[in-house]
Amino acid sequence: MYPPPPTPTPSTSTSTLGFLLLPSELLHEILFRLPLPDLHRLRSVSRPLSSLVSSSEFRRLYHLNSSLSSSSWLFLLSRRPPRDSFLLGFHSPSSRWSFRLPLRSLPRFDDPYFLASSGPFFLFASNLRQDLVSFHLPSSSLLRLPPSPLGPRGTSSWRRASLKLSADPTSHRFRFLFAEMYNHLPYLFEYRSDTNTWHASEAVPVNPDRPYSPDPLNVYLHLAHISTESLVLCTGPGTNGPVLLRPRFTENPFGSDRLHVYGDGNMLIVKSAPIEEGSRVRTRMRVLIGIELWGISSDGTEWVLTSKVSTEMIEEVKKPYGVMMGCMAEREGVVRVVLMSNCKGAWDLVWLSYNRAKGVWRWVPVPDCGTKGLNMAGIALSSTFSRLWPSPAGITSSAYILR
Amino acid sequence: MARSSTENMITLMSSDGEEFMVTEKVARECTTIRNMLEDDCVITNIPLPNVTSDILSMVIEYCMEHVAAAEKAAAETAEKGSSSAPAAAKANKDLEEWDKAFMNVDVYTLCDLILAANYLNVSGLLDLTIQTAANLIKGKSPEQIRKTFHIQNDLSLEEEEKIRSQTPWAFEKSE
Repeated sequence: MYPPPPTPTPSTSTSTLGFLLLPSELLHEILFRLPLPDLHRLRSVSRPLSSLVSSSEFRRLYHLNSSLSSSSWLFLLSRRPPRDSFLLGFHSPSSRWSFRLPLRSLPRFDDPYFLASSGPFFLFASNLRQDLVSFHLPSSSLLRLPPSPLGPRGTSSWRRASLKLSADPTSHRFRFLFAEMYNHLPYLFEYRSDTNTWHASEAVPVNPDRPYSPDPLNVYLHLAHISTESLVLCTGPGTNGPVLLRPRFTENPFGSDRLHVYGDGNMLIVKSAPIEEGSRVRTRMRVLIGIELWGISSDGTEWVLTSKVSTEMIEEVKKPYGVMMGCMAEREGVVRVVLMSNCKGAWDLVWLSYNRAKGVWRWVPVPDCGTKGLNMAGIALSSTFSRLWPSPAGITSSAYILR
Repeated sequence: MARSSTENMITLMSSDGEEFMVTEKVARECTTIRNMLEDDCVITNIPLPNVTSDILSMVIEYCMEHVAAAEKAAAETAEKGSSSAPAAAKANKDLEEWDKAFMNVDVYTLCDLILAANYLNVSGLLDLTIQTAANLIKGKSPEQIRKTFHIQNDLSLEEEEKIRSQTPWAFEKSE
């Protein structure tokens, strides 16, 4: 098969139409394939493009038609000494780092660690002040959250598996939930930005008063694992309060050769082996040998295997590494996993997604984000960022003044 | 490739009066033409007043390549009794490479191809051209987009500044 010869035709035919003269439904088809930052840049290209992209009609169509409107973003905070930090966003359908936000412009925002993202909100923990700060992107405003009932907490106290930020992309409100054992009892702590208050509630085992049923709207927060059992706090809309699930494994799945990643009621078991070089074992370097996705059974009592990543895909994605961390999220039947590993200072990102209906794993290659010697300060997945749109009036609320 | 004598030939006529003889199989890649053929099976000459000859020849080239690739895959499956996964993956990759090289055109031709693919309803070509146009926008600054698509900037400095200030994060230069 021969590739066609390059067509050197600066078309002179009379039918030649420019990009802007395409019928609107075809122009829309092109724009539906653009991630949000690119769409916003188009607004400043020319007046017709600006009014097209800014119109509420186009926004409605984009959310209705674009597969990107529910697509996922990976955000990570990269720190460069002495105080430069950038929030970087990778958009999976377009395989690009399409978002980059320097945080240096934000005043009194010291030593942030990035915890979570949802809709227009980004949540950070400050090690210096031991508190939480939310950043609202459209208005570039910061909100310092009051201390949680557990008091000031350093960045190392926050565990990704046990916290959840939840914001409606169209509203200015968010909820932040985290689970923690307190006096040996499992507690759910919830902050609501509209009332600026924390609320604590104890999670109890499933009982007739607090039944458990699987629901995509449930929030699952992982508390701990003890021998073959996990402690998972679950709270859903329309329930009387959080319940404590104790899903079990039939065998002990925990070992030093296994990394566990939790998210949205799923667990990923990442198996690895030390790399041997000749007779010498380089104990610090490991390589992936298997990835399994597990879910909680419908009665909440067991971990059940959902799917294994094929050995062919493992061969494709594996690289030697020293340390690895990960995050996982599920939305509309697609489980997305990001594994981030470091090998002698160089970071490598592996993005995998599992489609429940099709039973298929997909690997999204992530290009290098261009930050050498990246000091990683938190990663998070968001599937609601693409629904973010600036309102024509600009969203600035007096509520988001740094306190 | 030797054509079997039983294969129907169809004549497609471009807006500027040029005639293109293609096999019915290739013509059927265009859903618009397929529908015409199904409505009236004796039709052999189809005028296409919306498509110029240079664009029509490209559309035909695309359809021929994709028909040939499908035929080759079918023949291989028939020969071996089942298709081998690595061979199918290689053929797919080859076709993707061909598509990529085929899209090495200027933006005016690209826009004409989008219109023709839409009019003739060649779903594969429409998807390819739309995606190519989107890829030309991705990651570019407003100035680069104007240059790529020959778009006149009719915004005043103030208007541009105002738009940028609404979403400054969208205008951060990537490295």
